[in-house]
Amino acid sequence: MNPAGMNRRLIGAVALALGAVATIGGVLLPLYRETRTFPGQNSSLVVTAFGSTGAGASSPGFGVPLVLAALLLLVAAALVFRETPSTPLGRMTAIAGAAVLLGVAWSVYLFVTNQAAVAVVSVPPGGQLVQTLDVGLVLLGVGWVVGTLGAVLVQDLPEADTAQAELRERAERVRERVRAPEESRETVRTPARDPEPEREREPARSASGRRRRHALRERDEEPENDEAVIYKLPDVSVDDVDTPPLGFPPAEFGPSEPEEPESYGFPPEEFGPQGPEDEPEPTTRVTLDPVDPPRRS
Amino acid sequence: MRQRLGVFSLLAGAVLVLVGSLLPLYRQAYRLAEQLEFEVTAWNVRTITGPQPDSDEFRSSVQYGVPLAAAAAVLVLAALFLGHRRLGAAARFLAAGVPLMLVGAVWVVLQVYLRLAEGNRRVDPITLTSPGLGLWILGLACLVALAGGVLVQRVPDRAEPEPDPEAAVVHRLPDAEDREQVS
Repeated sequence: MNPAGMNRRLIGAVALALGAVATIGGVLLPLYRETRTFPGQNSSLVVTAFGSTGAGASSPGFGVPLVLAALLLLVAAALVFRETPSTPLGRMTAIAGAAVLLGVAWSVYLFVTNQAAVAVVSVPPGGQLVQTLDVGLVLLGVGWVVGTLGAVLVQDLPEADTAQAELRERAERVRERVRAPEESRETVRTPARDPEPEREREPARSASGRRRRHALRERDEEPENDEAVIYKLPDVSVDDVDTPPLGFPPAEFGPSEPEEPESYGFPPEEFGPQGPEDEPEPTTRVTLDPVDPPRRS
Repeated sequence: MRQRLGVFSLLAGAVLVLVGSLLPLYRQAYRLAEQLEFEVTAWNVRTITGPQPDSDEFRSSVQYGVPLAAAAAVLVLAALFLGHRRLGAAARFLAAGVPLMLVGAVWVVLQVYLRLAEGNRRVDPITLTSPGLGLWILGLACLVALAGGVLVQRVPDRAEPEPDPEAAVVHRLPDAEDREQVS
């Protein structure tokens, strides 16, 4: 698994553990609390996941399914924490825990809110009823959200990966086609980037190197001039193209090359036509941004 | 075949959930001075015998049907999108999870029923609670949906035997949905 996927898995494992802890907290802490101050009757009722205490206590215990869900989340967190043969099992357990927790917590929430609604109806005139949906219920909700997040994060998502690989491959093919006419120019340009070492290396260079350069230039229909050509794509001051840089005649930007595919959106329009084919002047100096656009991804 | 059976099970589970949520989950008979009998479904409380409630008091029953209906809807969606190229993985994810959510929701109903049924064991019970058809159907729906969720999962291919160096090598191409062209 790639590092990003591993990171995702670790964050997911932590989220699963946190969800389990929150769920356990929700099981232990009260879900609902009410205080009745009726004429001639003062009573209170506390509902937890293991039943209720106080006046009119009759809640069923929801602890078993909730604890089961929390345990599933915990086991899943332990299994997916390290990439082992049991990691797929951990992924399934994570789904199971989050799903059971959703079903149980939702139904418990409905049960508790219904109980609260029934209690409101039973308030006699002059009575006072204080109801609190307590922290346990909130913790159950938080536990579900965090646990589900973890369960999603630890999944392998193979189909998304293949789609990505396919897209990447297609992009690579497109780049190949865009780069094809660029490649030769780049070879000529490269020595011009640092003219100092070039001059030092010049005498040591074999004739073959010269031939190679010559051949490249021929393919490019480069004018026969030994001077290095620097291309610069106008990056910021597009409107300043007319100013001759360093006293040289300005670059003439003719129509773009017909074979240059425009539908790829690459190179961007602002870069304009590039390449020596458009320049009739042998000494034209066109400067190229050091960043090679097609390479950038 | 396996996949089709799984999709069918998911859809059948969804239908069973909806049917079960409309049928009575349990019945309660109060042995008071006058006979009083209720039927509780996932959506409301119906009075069978005894005075019809004139207030809204009995209408406020636990709406177990909301998560059940949501689960049924997601089950149907998962079954429909299983063959989808992009959403297939998400659909399988849901097909595995939603039946378990259903189990959780039905479990709560079962717990409530069991708590009420405890009253039957008293020496002189005030109320008698009996399970309704809906509870059984919901349980059946859980099993059917779980089976469907398992059936639609992709089982990794068994370890292929080592190919005979002399024999022709036949590669099995992936399923048709994977071979689809992207244009």
